Amino acid sequence: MTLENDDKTFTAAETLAISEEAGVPMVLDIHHHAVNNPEGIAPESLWDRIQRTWREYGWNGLQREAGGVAEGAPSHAPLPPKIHVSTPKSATDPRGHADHVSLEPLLSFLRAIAGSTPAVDVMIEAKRKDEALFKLMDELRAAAEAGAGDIRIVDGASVEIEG
Amino acid sequence: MLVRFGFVAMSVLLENASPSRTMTYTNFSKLPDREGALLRLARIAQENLQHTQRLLSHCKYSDIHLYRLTSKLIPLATHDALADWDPYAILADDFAAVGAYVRETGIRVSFHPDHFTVFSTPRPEVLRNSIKDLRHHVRMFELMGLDERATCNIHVGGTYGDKEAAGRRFSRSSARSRRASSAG
Repeated sequence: MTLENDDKTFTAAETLAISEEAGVPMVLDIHHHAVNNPEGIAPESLWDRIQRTWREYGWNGLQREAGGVAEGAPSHAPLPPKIHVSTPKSATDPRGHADHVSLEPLLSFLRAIAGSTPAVDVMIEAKRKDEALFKLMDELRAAAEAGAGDIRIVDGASVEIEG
Repeated sequence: MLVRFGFVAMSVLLENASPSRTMTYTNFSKLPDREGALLRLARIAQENLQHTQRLLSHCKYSDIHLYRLTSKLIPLATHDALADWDPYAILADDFAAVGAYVRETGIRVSFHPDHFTVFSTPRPEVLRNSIKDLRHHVRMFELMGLDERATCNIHVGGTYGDKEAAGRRFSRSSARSRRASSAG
């Protein structure tokens, strides 16, 4: 199970506290955070703690109980933390999902965490689904070609961002 | 930092690959032969699973390493009027095939049970349905033979006028549910 911050009720900081207490990894939704952040907390300021909720979770269930991996059991690297990204549909419907995702503010967030994070998985929540993913990749490719030296295209759906 | 992108449930680029075709309960109940109607539901689920496999194949050939499965793979799966129906046994092979492909490709998959799954609720019947819904998702992962790296993502839920109490209820109820469904 993973736990995600909400766009109306539990904020990222509140969800994080519950995640830590329950021992459940937290999925940070940066769009929900933008529309439900009464204290004006920068999402990257919560990131170290969010990342820890993933590191401390024993994915084969054995690591956690035995304090190590039991003999013969498969050992798994921790999963990269996962975040959700979407773009507000409109000014009148800021919580709805737009067709595509804007490169900003996602790129700013990724740059802010790049130095302290080996890997992150980003789930795109957009009306145009996989098309939105490829469009975002095109924009990242264009940014890299236009001189953003910290972005390197890895494959059709992954990039490396230098921290 | 390696950043991998994924998408949710359906493709707008693949044709005729919906993983979430359904039948409404109204239409189901209009069918004269209940056994036949249940087979029809299972047939829709099989198609949804075949389409899921096509979507995963699309992911593989597009270098997409994460994908969210739709919660609507089995039509009417948790409907109260179909509590006596066990779709899992009929669909075991179809789920196993999808799971084998997930393991082979290493694609990270997840479910996102909808917003009716709320463990912060003070209402016992809502909690019961939330547990049932989470169990349903865990059952599908089990049929796919996937381990705890395949996750169900949920929200804390409503606050019901007292955020702290709602948070405490969430922690208690979700721990209970995770034990009951072994959802990690």
